[in-house]
Amino acid sequence: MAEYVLEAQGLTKFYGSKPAVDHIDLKIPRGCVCGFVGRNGAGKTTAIKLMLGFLKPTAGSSRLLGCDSQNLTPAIRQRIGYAAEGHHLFRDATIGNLAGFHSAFFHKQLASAKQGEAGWDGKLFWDMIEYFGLSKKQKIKKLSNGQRAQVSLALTLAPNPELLIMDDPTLGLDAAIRRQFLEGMIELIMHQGRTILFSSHILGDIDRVADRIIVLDKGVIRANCTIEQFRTAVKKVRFVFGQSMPETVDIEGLLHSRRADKELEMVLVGTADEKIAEWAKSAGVEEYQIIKQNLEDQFIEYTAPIGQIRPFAWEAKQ
Amino acid sequence: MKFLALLRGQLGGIIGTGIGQIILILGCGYFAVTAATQFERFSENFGSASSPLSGVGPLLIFASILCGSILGLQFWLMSYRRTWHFLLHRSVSRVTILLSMITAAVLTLVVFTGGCWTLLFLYASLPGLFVLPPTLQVYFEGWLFISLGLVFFMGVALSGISTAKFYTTKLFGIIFAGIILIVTFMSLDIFRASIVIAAGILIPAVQLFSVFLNRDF
Repeated sequence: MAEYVLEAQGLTKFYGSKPAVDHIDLKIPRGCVCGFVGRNGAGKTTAIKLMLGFLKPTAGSSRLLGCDSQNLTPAIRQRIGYAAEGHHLFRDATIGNLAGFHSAFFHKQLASAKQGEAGWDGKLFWDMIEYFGLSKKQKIKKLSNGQRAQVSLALTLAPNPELLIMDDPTLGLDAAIRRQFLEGMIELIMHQGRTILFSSHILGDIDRVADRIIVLDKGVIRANCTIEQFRTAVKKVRFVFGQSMPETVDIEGLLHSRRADKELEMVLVGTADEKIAEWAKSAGVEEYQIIKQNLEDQFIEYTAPIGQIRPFAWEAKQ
Repeated sequence: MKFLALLRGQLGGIIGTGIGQIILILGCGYFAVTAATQFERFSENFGSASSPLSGVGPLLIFASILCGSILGLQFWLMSYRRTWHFLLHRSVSRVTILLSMITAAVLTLVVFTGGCWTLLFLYASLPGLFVLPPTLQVYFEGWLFISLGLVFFMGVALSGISTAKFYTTKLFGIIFAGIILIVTFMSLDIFRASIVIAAGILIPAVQLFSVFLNRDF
């Protein structure tokens, strides 16, 4: 039986009458790298804060490393690394001060400890700081967003956390720094048994690092599968009709469709290629093509609001 | 150990306030005491007496309230700078975190403001400086003034972490501290003033713990 480091059952949070997170059921097994994706306002940050016990759920519950999120013990918190969105650190502290403060909450890692064992690894921290071209005496308030993110990553990774939760860690970083950041994460992944949940708007990052994708849309989990399963499941197909197009489209897994002249574009989920061919034949399609898409395109199609796929006003005028 | 780390972290952020207190109280206080000695010598010729630390009282009240308010502002700044999550995701309970913040504020008031007050009192008590040296009651009154700083710390902190709207109860803590200040001056004796100040600390403190332990961050 798989051991789950993160479990959520019916996790719900309402702000007033509006649900930010709506009955989330989630199980993340140990050793998994999960990309948590969703559009702006999808509820990613709220879900993460609920799981970490910063917010109280309206209904439902969640457990991290077997402990209820609302009652995370200090010992459990020590095993969880968390990088908040925006990497907000104490502005008046220097990197050295911050490292001293942060390390006081962990066991000092013994030289005899095996690589990857929990505990504050000062060498790893300072190696990362040096790698990022930062120094001990630099004040946090004088660092750029990217540099602050690097300090935050080093602080989060240095204790070798069993579970790492990061809320949009690469937000606002340039491509080079983002790559450094992801390399740091990959370094951690290489330690056996580490689990990572990170939210991001950049699907390329998810594709590069994650092996599982969780799609959150308007507070609801729309997909929770491996990247490969998501890639295979979401298809965009363009059908060209010689004569008239059918009035209604009845095909299994249809998410939404677009009509233009003699063309019909469909976004299908979980529809087998044989079924598509079968439907094309029965509908009198002249030719059809399954369009190759990258993960980002697939995500956009998958989360596009039904009936709202239309050009912006300025595009329509052109 | 972890509590000490939290305390050190808190004190690191407010050490500037403490140094400001030393400069304000010792600088202005020394000037006030010196002026009082001069006034005493002058008034001796006319046969009238003066109170040795009368000029320091208002200064102490002002400095304590200012210090307490600045310390309480840390709670506003934590929200404004969004650093609560960094602090709260520690391997300690929320109670320990709040206790460290309160302890840092108390230590700043006691060590810096109280220390300066004690030095001024000892200076004014030096033999030969005043005809009538200040009494222990004056010293105790000074500490009551300093504890007004704690009343304002609690009030400003409570308002800082309150999630209510500005036009509802968010500013309750600050307004309550203001009311306590007025009631303290209306009190007829030290005992009653002490009771009022104790209530002014305890009531928002209970509320502060309740909000801090239960609010969404």
